[in-house]
Amino acid sequence: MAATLPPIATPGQPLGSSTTHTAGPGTSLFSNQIISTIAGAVSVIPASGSSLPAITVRRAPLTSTSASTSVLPTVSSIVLARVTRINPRQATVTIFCVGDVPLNDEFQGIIRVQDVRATEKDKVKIFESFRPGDIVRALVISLGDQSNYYLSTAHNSLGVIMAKSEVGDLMHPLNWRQMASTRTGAVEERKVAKPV
Amino acid sequence: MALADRRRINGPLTGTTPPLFTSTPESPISLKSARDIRPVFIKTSLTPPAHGSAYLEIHTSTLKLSASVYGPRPLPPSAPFSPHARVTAEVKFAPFSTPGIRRGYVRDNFERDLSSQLQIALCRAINTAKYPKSGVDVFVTIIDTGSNAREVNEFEILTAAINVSSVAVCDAGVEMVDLVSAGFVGRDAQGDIVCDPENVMEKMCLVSYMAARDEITMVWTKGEMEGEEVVKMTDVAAETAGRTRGVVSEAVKERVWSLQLGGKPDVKMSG
Repeated sequence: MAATLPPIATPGQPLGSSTTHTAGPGTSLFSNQIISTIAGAVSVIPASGSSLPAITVRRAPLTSTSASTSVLPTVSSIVLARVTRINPRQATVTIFCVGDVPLNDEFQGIIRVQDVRATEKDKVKIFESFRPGDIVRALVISLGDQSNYYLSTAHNSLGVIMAKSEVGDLMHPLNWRQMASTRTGAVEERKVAKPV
Repeated sequence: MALADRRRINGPLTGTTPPLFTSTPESPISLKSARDIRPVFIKTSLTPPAHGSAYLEIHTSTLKLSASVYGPRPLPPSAPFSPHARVTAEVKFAPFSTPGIRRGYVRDNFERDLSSQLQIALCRAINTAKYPKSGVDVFVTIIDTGSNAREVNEFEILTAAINVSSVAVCDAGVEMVDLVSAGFVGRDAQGDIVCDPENVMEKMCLVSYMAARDEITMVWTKGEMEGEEVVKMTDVAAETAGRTRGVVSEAVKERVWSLQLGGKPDVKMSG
């Protein structure tokens, strides 16, 4: 079956029947046919267990040096974001990386006070969790409103991963709620992500 | 000449003769038959800052267009929430595009009309449900209209604009349900249908067509026609569009060959 596949697919091109394959990334179903939705190299992911082999189309990179992009934050994706401003109800961030893929454009997101951590939600104070300039690993919980994605850091692995102290020194994590300056040892409060 | 004006660059003292050009024939004699379509040249990824771009030329015409696509990118904060991608299209004539007149930078009604038709032709082909809260923006610049100011062939321009932006959208990696290609036909004085006519005719019909799923995304007609005649012309225009699809899909494969599969030569001009 794989031998009959073309090396390159273009949008709309039928690649196989849905009875023998499943539609992987870059393809979609159209009246029992798996059709390509992008231009790219075709490959087949072999069947694992009871599932059928999946036909996928990989997008060509934008230039010879860049990675293939055009990803968007979706619900349940892990993103990296930079805190831009804080107020007692929420921290506003710009998302610059989804999973491992850096984005071409930055998307705005907010971390509301109730989404900062899983326990003692009523005692969370935003300014003891994030400061402008911090780099945060977060989970997208909703596509949000017209301009913001809603993010959450309510997990051990989520939270601040890089921060600078009030005077501008880089800080290292002490525990899940404190970071210390690498130069002076001054301690500041953050919602710290567990180092991986 | 003590009184010569030294502050300005003076002309020669003896005067000059103005250049005299030989006159060009009104319109070149067409060698193509009524069923033929003119060869199209399309090249992708020529505008570096854009996510996807394409450039199009038509053989024997001086029509030149370029399209650049930005997206999917976040919508401006003022835009309302939308679970689908918002597709916008903008057609712009370069100031020097039409021989004889200079076009302004402000969008005129003709450009606005072409833009909205292009938007209709494209948005059905783009898988908008994949990109919530984002926009796909298509910009088409007409570098040369390929006709003079008296007789701008708007059907030819829109056909080329649809073809070039379809390639550019695909080049940007935006998911599409199918490639769109467009074709247009005219009915000459003898009442015969001419595919891809080089001159403006009284009755014309443009169809934007997705060949793989046999779907028409847009129809544009001009002139007085009856029901039967509209169907006939739409059919031939869709068939013409289907023939252009080969060039469109070869053009989008070009970058995949060069950047993903390590190169493949040839594939340029084809009808």
